[in-house]
Amino acid sequence: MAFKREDSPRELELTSLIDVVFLLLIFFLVSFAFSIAGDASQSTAATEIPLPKSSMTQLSLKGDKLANLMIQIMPDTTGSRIAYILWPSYQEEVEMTEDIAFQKSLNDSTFCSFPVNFLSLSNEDFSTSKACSLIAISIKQFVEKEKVFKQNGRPVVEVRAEKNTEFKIMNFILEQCGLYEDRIPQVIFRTAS
Amino acid sequence: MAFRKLSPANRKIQLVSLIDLIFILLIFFIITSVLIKLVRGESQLYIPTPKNEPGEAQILIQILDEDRYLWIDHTAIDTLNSHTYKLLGKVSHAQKASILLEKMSFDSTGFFERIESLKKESALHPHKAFFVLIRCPEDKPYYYATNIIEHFLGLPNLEYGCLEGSIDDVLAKGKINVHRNTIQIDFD
Repeated sequence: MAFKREDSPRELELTSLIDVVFLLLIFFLVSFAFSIAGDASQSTAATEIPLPKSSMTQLSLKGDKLANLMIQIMPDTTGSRIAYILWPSYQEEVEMTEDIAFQKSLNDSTFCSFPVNFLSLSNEDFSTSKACSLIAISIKQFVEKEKVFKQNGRPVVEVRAEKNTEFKIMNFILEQCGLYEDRIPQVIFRTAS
Repeated sequence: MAFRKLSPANRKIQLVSLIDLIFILLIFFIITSVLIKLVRGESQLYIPTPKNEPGEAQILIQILDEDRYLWIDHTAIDTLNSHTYKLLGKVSHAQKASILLEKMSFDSTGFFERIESLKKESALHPHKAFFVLIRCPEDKPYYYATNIIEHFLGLPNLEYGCLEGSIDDVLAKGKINVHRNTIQIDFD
């Protein structure tokens, strides 16, 4: 078969050229960004930051499953905060994704809003508000349940909240855990970035 | 100007453009999926439960702002004494608080240098108990406090407590009394 010779003038295909240039640009931009991120993480991990060692040797997390009481603080539509309490299942472990935590606490009716003006409340009024009472009762019940179910285990409370959650709420949770300091040796903070 | 009608023979799928487009879409989805994972990720911090019992603390850390901390340790006694000596008459509690605020507040760099030296000291004296009280304003984000607590992990002889409150309480109605070796601060 004879090859057909093209007699038309060979033009540069501008569209394809732009496409290829654009792809190359994206590729180099992305690979450059990733190489910087990789370098930064390697250098800091290797040289400067010693990884913090917890005084606890035993962690209650099993893979990505929830084995602890989780208190999830989320923003409210009114500008306040809602506390969701997620209980670990003693029969089967619960996947700990944010959506499941949220859904489960809705089903179990273990959620409560903080008052809109909770920052201006006195400590006494704040700690007797419904949301605080729910947190306090949950921690108390959790400690009692853990005594029954895990005689040798040590209960751990987890708190999941956004980075900018007010200290007033966190301090209340820490205070409540502090009441059972001999029973709850550790608190885990899961900070959504 | 009349539009030129394409003849049916010219209507072909442009394979090069199609591959280009698919490649761009592929890159787009790869990058967005990685970014979504990064955005939805959460950091975990394991901290020992604080001991919130009334008592003595070697160091009081009052968080003023994200990058401003008041650090009160035994050196504050000399600082207060040397400055109140210059003032004639009775020195009010608010004046003492202002002196402390002026002389003992640090930015992040100075503050974390002090934290590091405290950690070294506690590691050098494993049998000596250290207690640090962290005071954070109630409306500030809690990570101001956890950023500090994070530094105390792994030192079994260094314990901490948490309190809520701002420096304004101390300036307005706090009581600061200097004894021979101690400073007594009543916050309200």
